[in-house]
Amino acid sequence: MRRRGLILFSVVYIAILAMDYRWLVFSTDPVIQARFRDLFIGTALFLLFTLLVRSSLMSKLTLPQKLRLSGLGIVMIWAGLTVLDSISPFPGEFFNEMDAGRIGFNFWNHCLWLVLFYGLLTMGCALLIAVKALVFVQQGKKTQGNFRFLMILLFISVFVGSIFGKIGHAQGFAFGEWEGHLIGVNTVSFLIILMAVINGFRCKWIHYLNKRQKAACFFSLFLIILLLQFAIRSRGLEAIGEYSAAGYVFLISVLYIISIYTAMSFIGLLFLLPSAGILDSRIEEIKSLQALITTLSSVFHFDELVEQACQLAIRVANAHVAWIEMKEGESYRVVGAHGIASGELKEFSKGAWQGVRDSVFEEEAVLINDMQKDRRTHRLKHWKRNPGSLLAAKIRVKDEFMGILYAMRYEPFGFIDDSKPTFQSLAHQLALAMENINLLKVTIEQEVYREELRLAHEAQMRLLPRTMPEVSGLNLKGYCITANEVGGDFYDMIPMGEDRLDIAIGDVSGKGASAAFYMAELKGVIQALAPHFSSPGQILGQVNQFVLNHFESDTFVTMVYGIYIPSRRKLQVARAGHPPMAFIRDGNVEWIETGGVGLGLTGTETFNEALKEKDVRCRKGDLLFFHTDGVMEARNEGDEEYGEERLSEILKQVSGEDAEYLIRKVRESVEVFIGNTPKHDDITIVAIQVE
Amino acid sequence: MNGFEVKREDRDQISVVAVKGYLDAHTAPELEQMLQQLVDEERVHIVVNLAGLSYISSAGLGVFMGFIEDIRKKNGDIKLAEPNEKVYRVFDLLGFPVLYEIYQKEEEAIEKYRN
Repeated sequence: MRRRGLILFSVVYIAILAMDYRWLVFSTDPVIQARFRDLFIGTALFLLFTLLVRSSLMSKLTLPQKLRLSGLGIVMIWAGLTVLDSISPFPGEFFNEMDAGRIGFNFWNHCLWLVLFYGLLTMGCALLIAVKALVFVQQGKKTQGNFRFLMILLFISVFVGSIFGKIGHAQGFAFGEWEGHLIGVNTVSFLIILMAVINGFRCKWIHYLNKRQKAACFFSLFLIILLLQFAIRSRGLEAIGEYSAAGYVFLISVLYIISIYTAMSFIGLLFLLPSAGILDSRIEEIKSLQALITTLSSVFHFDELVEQACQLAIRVANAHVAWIEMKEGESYRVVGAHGIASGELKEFSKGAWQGVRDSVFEEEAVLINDMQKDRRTHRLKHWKRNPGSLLAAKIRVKDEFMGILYAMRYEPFGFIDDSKPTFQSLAHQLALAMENINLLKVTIEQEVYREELRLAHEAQMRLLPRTMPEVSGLNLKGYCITANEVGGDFYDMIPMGEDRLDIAIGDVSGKGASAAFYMAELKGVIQALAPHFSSPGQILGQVNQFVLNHFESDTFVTMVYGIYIPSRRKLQVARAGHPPMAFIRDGNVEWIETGGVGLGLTGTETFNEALKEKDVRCRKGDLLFFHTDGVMEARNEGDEEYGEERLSEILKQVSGEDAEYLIRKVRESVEVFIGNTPKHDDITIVAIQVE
Repeated sequence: MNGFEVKREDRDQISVVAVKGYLDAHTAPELEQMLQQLVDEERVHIVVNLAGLSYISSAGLGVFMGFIEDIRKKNGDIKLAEPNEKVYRVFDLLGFPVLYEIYQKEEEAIEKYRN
């Protein structure tokens, strides 16, 4: 399509040149010949215009670039016409003179003429495109139709001019020649002016300029209007008319259209200029808020956040100073300020601001136009800062009143009414950012706490025997898992020389960190006591005394303590309130439930009285099983306890197997039973196999 | 999960505290508070009715330990009554029967005080 247009344009253009040099002759009458040539020129212009419209010539430029280019185009038209004016003889007469043989053919003269003539027409087309681009900024419903109609009128005028325009004289049948003979032509001219005015209303682009650009544009437009007047009245234009009526009608129509459009934009700017500053500050406010949302949410230090918020408050409200005070209990503390030292504000923090605070508390945001007179701030009138007007907005998360954001100007009535909602939304954003920082802080604290618990857990796990002692004739295995990071369960295996192994399994009441500390203490106590006593009862009695003396009164410990003598395959065991151990032989499970009270529950006398020891004679293949209440009290989703029966059943099944197998089976069984239910107590199991 | 409830009923100089549900580390403070209140009021003849108690953990057991010494010094006592089988098993394992009077019926415990 575009290529075809270009080819067609070239053909038409070559035809025009051919006619100029009389290679192509339609009629011997020079007037008719000239009319044919004008029709071709009109067609060439139309083709050029459509080609330019379809190309995306202006679409990629920014508005200021479009404006600058258009201005340059107008200057070039004026310059071209001025140059034409200075060429003598009038080039329009050039061909006629040459025809008459009065002058010879001057190649360079002719070249200059061609460049100027077609250059001006092309520039005229380009300017139409520029006007179109400006008119189409923020299109209305009829924008396209109106502009198209103007262009159709323009080309009708061009073709009518080609056919009826007088040749040899500076006259087109467009503007400036109102005494033309044809009413129809005048009607077209009138319609062009009318449509140019209608299109001239579409100058929305002036709103998109900032204050400085508006001012620059205003003066440029003034100069351009003057230039256009010179161009329209220049004799260069007449020279074109003498050569081609079509060219003249086109160029002068374009110049009028541009003049009208420029004039209307100028008037538009005239009305906009006084408010340009306000508009700019509005736009600045919006931009600030956008910047705010992105910057404030990326600040994770409270001090930095406060500093940035103060700066933004100054920009948003166009204030002199801004500061933030936070509520701390019943009092207020200035946490950040910009343009003023926070120390200076503190002098007045006692009660001078209370009126504002009360007001903000009720209204979210407050604008005080004259601080000296307003009853809320009149106590500040002796402040050397000379307070003028004040904006204050509540910083609030959900319904919690956190603090106040202030902005102040030194003169009364310094803020515009509209800045209140913007200022309020700034305070709102600030509140959100503060909340974010708080949440982040809590998260980090929790993370630190969790890490500490993890370390405690590791420390506790190190208190359990890491490797089982090698005792001849015994196969030992222990397993412990805590419900929380740290727990109160423990077990220990203490080899005492060649022929004695002490086994302790216990549970400190309560859960969590304190139980874990007691457990660590107990381990040390037992290790210290064991070598000095030879029976479990004695050792437990000593531990009871220790727990009674050193642990809190509502803390107690349950324990099973056993002393195994390998050479005699004898286990002596005592139970202090702890779930009994199991003795497994030949598929039978015997629970060794001797009497005994928990450690730390009662004094030595009662304790020793209640405590009973028992001897268990072992043989090869026997299994000894110790556990804490976490096993039987493990719960499933249905809140059902694992219980003694299930445990007994498993223990029967593992009779005759080794210690490791026992541990694995019990673990599996308990884990399958509880499923996904969170563990609610520590689980500890110890197994000993007699070999 | 399972709620916990403590109710108090005064009969002459005797206070009957009825507990219900789960007594563990989370709910123990409620019972603690109740016992503390009784001690503060010098009402040291206490019967704890355990009929509604479905579970007691070591922390729950610790509550009684925390008060018994103080109460006995004031010539009072905590008597336990009507534990279910499971709860009694826990008491039994721990050796509570040596330390506390545990009764089948609340009335028996009250009767014991009156005599």
